[in-house]
Amino acid sequence: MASEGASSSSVASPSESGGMSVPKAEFIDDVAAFLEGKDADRILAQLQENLRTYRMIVEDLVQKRVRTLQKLPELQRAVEIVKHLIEKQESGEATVTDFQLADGVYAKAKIASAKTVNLWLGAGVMLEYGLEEALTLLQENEANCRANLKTNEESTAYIKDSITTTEVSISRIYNHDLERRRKAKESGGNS
Amino acid sequence: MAKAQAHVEVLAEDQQRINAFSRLHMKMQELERKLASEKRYLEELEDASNELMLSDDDNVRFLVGECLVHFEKDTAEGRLEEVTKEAKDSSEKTAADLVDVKKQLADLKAHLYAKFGTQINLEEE
Repeated sequence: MASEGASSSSVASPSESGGMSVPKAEFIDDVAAFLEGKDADRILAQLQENLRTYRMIVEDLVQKRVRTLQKLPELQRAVEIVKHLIEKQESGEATVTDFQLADGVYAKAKIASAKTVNLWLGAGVMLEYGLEEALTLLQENEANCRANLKTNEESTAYIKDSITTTEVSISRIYNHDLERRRKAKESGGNS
Repeated sequence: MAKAQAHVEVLAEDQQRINAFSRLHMKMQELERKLASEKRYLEELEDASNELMLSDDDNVRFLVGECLVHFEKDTAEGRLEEVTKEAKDSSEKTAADLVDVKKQLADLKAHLYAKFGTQINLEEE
């Protein structure tokens, strides 16, 4: 009688969403000094390469974020119904519900004093929990989910900064190189 | 972009401003999406509340989690009010955040344009 499948997939460890293993793009203080004795084209190619890497990481982070954002409401709904069951159990009332058998097919069910729910833990495993226990677990998962979103946001900001810095560096080096060539041409033409 | 016209050097602090601008711009887009969906939800709740007021059926099916739970009308009204309040608070917070982010963006924009003029483009591409 007392069955309510609540989904709660595995909780990603916060460390892996870090993406902090990538070195941050450094700001170039003085382009002229930086380029001294270096081949501008090679530097530009290197920066483009970095940019590609950063963009891939951001793409990855964004996808993770979308997945987590989808999981959050699922957990919230699970928390909501378990809370409801706890309330009903405390007041000793039964819950009458129309539950879905198939798309568009509903049956009426009466859940009288449910003491346990079964939580879908993922990977083909479902476990029976006491109501309070289930609520704690679901709320923990919800908190983890939010924490993940926060680290994800920080990582994204970090990589995003590197992208912007690299883009600016590329255009500064490019402009500087252009200017240098122009000057070289002028002085070459004059002498 | 910028040709060699009265070239303005980019300083580390400018770079930081540009980074902040780019980050905030991303945040703004996310907040706008969030606000739009929260507003849609609020409208739906309002519709539900109107329907509930008009209905004379005492037995209402109310979505709790993913289940349609039968409630008496009064209970349903109470719950709906609670849910609406939560949704309202949340969307008001989002709106306030958005105003804040937009203000920061405007400040940064003014600052960066003042320094770089036509050498920088901060408009929506």
